[in-house]
Amino acid sequence: MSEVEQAATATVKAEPKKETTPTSAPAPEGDSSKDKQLSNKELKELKKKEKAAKRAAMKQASGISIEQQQQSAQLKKEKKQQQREKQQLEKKKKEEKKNRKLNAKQQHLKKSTLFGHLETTEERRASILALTSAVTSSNASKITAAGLMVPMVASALSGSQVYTTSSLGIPLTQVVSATPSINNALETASTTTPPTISTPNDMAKALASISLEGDKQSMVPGVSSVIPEALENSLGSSQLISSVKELLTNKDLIHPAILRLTSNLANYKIVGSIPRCIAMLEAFQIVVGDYQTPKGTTLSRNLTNYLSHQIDILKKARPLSVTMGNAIRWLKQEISLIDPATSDKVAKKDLCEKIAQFAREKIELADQLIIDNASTQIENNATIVTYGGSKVLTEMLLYNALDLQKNIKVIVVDSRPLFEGRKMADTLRKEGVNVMYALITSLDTIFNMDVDYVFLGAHSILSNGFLYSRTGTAMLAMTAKRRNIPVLVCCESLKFSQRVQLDSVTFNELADPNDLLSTGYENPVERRGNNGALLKRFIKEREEAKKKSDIENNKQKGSNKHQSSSSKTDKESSVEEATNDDEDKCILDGWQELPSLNIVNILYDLTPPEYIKKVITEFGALPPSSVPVILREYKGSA
Amino acid sequence: MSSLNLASLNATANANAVPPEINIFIDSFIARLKRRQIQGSYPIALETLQLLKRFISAARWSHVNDLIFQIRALANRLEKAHPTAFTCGNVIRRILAILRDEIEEDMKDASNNMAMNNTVTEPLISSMFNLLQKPEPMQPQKKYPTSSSSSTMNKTKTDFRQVAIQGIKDLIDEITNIDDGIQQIAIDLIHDHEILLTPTPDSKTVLKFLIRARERSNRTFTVLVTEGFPNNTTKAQIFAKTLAQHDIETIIIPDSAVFALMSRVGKVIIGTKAVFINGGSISSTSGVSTVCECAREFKTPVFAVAGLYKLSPLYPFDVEKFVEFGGSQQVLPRRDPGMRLDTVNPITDYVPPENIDIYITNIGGFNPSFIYRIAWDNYKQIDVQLED
Amino acid sequence: MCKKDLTSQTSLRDKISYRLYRHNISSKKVATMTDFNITETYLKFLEEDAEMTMPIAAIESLVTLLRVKNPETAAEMITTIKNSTAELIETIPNSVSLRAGCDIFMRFVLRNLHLYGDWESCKQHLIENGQLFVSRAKRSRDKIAKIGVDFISDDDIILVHGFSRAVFSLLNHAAKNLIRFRCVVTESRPTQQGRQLYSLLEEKGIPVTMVVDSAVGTVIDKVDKVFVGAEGVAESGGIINLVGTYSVGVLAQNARKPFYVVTESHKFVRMFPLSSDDLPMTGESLDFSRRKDNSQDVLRGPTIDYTAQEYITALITDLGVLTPSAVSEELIKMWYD
Repeated sequence: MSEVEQAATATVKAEPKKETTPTSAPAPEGDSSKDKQLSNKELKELKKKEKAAKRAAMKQASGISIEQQQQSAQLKKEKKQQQREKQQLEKKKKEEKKNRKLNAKQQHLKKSTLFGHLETTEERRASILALTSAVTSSNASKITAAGLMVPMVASALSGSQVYTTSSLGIPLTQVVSATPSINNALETASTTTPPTISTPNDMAKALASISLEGDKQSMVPGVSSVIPEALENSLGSSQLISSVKELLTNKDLIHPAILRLTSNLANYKIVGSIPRCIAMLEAFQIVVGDYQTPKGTTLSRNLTNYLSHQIDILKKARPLSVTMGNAIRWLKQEISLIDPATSDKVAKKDLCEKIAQFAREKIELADQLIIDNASTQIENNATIVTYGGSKVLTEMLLYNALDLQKNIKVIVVDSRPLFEGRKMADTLRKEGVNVMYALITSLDTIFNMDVDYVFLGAHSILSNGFLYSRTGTAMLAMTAKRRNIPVLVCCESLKFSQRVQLDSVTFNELADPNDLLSTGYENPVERRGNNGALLKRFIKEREEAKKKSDIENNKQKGSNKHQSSSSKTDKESSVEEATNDDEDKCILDGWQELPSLNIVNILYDLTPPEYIKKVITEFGALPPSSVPVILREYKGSA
Repeated sequence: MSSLNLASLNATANANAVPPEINIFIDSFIARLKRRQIQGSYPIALETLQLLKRFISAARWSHVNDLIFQIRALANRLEKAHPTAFTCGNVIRRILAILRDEIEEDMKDASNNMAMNNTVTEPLISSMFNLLQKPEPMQPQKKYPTSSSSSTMNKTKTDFRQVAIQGIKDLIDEITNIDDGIQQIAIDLIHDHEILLTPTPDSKTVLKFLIRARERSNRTFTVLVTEGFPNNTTKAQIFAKTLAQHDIETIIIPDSAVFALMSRVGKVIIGTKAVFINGGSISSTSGVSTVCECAREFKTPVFAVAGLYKLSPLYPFDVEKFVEFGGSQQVLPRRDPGMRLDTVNPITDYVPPENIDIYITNIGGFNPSFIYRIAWDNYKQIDVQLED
Repeated sequence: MCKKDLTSQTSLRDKISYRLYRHNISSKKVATMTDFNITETYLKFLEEDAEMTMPIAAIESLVTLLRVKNPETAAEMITTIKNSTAELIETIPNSVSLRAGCDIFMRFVLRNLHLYGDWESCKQHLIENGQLFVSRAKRSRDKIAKIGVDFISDDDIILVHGFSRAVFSLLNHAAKNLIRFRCVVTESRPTQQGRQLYSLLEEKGIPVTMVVDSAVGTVIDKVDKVFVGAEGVAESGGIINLVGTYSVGVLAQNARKPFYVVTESHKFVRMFPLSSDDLPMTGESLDFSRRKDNSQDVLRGPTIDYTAQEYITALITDLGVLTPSAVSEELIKMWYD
């Protein structure tokens, strides 16, 4: 029996060698609890082996079989290896303990039952945070790297304020006003953040984490100490960590323009699939412009690879929109077509031009065609219902009202939490269009009015004809359909996707649940510009950590450290007060602590094709069932 | 029945028999109704009954029809003050029905006593027979108030006050204990690990029911709560928090995500503000009708919980008349006058009967198409229109 | 019994049924011509009073029958009524509506006999009050108009299929109440009911237009609500009415327009057809036999159809506004107690 146990522990101990993530690293002592990690299969095999061994022992009176000898020898070998590993790991012990705690926490991590398979905003944010911190740290000196990091996302969330904090429980070294652009933030971080290592103790820790940073196999170095603990929790899953790690190994390759875009996307500063695509293409133009082919390779081979790294980062902001995906596919194809003989300079220039042309053709000209086509549909004195904010729809309605002098009434339906329709309604109102603004809860009332058409924008149209668009679209389309009001979708063919999907739950994008905390009509994204829940949480955690470290420091050091930290406390509390003003009203503050409470904020839903009368694209108007036809016919161009 | 009406018309002269001290109460209640200071159908129903109790105890009348006339006048005033506070009219109509039943009963006894059994006095079993009914049965009714002696009148008068007050007491009892009855039935409609959706976070009945289902029958289920933006978001959050504190898996979702999630929802539970005889209902959160439409589209069952007192004998001829609208400040932030936008903010929503699968009341579960019967069991057709 | 007189006097629907009846008689040569003919009486009632509906005419005929035959015993009375009813139903091609009248009459008689055994007074009552029933039936239409007027509001466009006295009295009442609404009338082929209603509405100053029956699908989106009458209301709450009602009902439901049936409660009939094929009709609904000569009209097919209850929003009757399921309750109450 003891052999079995040994074997069990051996296998368990052997595992960490394969899996490098510290999450699965075992406790030094292989105790019985670890048996659980054995899969049933393994256990069965072991039992079989054991039985076989026993039988052998019965038969062979001579004693231990060769097999067993071999086995035990192997075990011993492995044990030794393990021992070595253990010693190696000794250094990381602290880290590991944290991680184990983290694992425990992870069980309480907020994942809704329905959307457990989707990446949450917190996870995404955590990886970005990890990443940005790593990137910035490489810009700063090695010491700062381990020390403090400007949590780039937090800074962006906080609008114009950048907080630089020490990773070692000394938060808010200074409050630097900077423009929200990451570029500036980067500069700020690297230039105005002197290493603030005030105690030898801190120094030691810092050095420790630097050494860890060298070790590519360890978990994200320095990160866990930088980001708020809540985010730390999110980094629990090994898959996520490995993806973050991958990003980090390539962090030097990341272009600042991409970083800036990432932050804008992550904060919903740029929304809508078309604006996002345009922004990405613009960023790519800069990236391509700045690109230098490394020695020993060619542009056509290496640039794709280089871009992939950029795209990996972009993915961390929000999942790529279909438009972005299509544009990227096109761009990669273009790059691969470049003749290796062309000089880098010419190739880069060509590419940039092509990107510009692509944007013009696929978006601007396409929009124009769509507008022309849709306008023939709209009769004078028509009442039109739209949902959310769509660029092409806004232009189309303005064109009809102003240039074609049609007397139209527009009802903009909107929903929480993004309130995209408000912008659209304002734009139309400014131009003197007869606009009515309503919320999705009043659909019944709206459709009791005399509505002639429903015009919808799209995020994407899938190849099975489903419309993938802002949540609520499906509801609007359904109610319209049930009242025999025609639903028309304006959509560039760039938005056509090869993907098929049947319902909105399987694939979707989760937005920040905290956006739903407020009860008012403010746009939480705008509001967060001043004091987001994330920042608040960050500060709170820092404060707790600081208190702890204060106590420790007081024990260890004494007064000089205490002074410096108390001055920081003042600053901090003032920030806290500011945040408190607004946040106190929220009933759901601290919803994370309630284990059975969840908030789901999905961004998209799927509208079945039977609700859609017509899809208006630059190729003309077609039924939703024709989407795959277009995809086939024009595969090359999109 | 029309004879009763005639008699009450004769009594118009005595209508101002309401003592002044009661008038003060009535006026203040009406004022509060008008200012919408009483929220929710439950408190409105209870307060109306309390008022009615005072009113009846203080009222002076010579004939029971006179009393009915006075009550109708009061109900009419209240209804005018707040046309969409349906429970207010409902409870008064219930009391009127009780009184009328008693009168009928009385007359039957009386006619039996007088042994006027010479003709077929059997009450109309089916109104379809109206066509062929003999004209005679009407006569004893007509004769009755005039011919009967005053001594029987006196006897019945005290009776009726008692009957009405007792009716009110019973009704108050019924209303306050409504949740128990509903829960008993509704629990059987939820299975373990079911995902429920409720678009009416302001309904206490729904809340109590869910908690009860969790605690009593120890079912685990997930509840999706829509936000009910703009008017009920706060209530939705409190609702969700309360559920979560009772260890019910609760997920708050924006109103727009209903369609996206409907395919996963097992049942939709809605609270109601009023249920009409066609089986349609008014709910006190906007967006409910769209949610129910979604449910219909996905063939997800919708069940509505409603106390009996929410049943209204009215027919929603003009739905728009029954839907209330709120101020725009909930929908849009204040902005400069030049940039104002038109907007609508419906507070309530009408759910047509075809989008509701079943009503759970404290006396049982009913198909929407059967609601009319339950209503006529408790109300009299003659009292539907309170205006004279 | 000259045809010319008929044309001028009876309403058009009744004219058709009468014609068909004449046709039947001539072909079948009904042998049972005694001193009293229930069918003749029935048709005469219809002919004399344009306002009279078929069930009422049937009841009146039965009353007349009682008066003429003056049965000696209860059993005799019942058999007489039964036989005459059967005869009436058999000889009149479109028997749905009159069947309702006979049903009520029969049931009323049976009830009174069973409950009290007082058949003499019952007979007396029926014989004496014949005219009363007619006036009550007419009053019930006024009652319907009063109840149903709430369904019509200003600016409504109302589609009406077929001619029904109840619908007309409702529309007329609404117009009198100064409700401004407009009417779309279907031609209601193969009858002239559309034109009949059109001229009546025009006479009352109600804005009205007429469309061909096949245009209903096209105009239904512009229409706010649909009103139809009924020849009979089946137990399920579905209605039997002029052919085309079913198509209108389906179209209305598809367009989510309310579909109201305006009818008197004495048209509730104990039938439960499953579909239009299930209705008592003469001949096949689809007749593929060759024409005998060229003068015969090629147009054949059913003249009535059945609209199931799921297409009906509500029934506006003299008993109040009923959901289809309330109809079955009324019928159940009448037959089982």
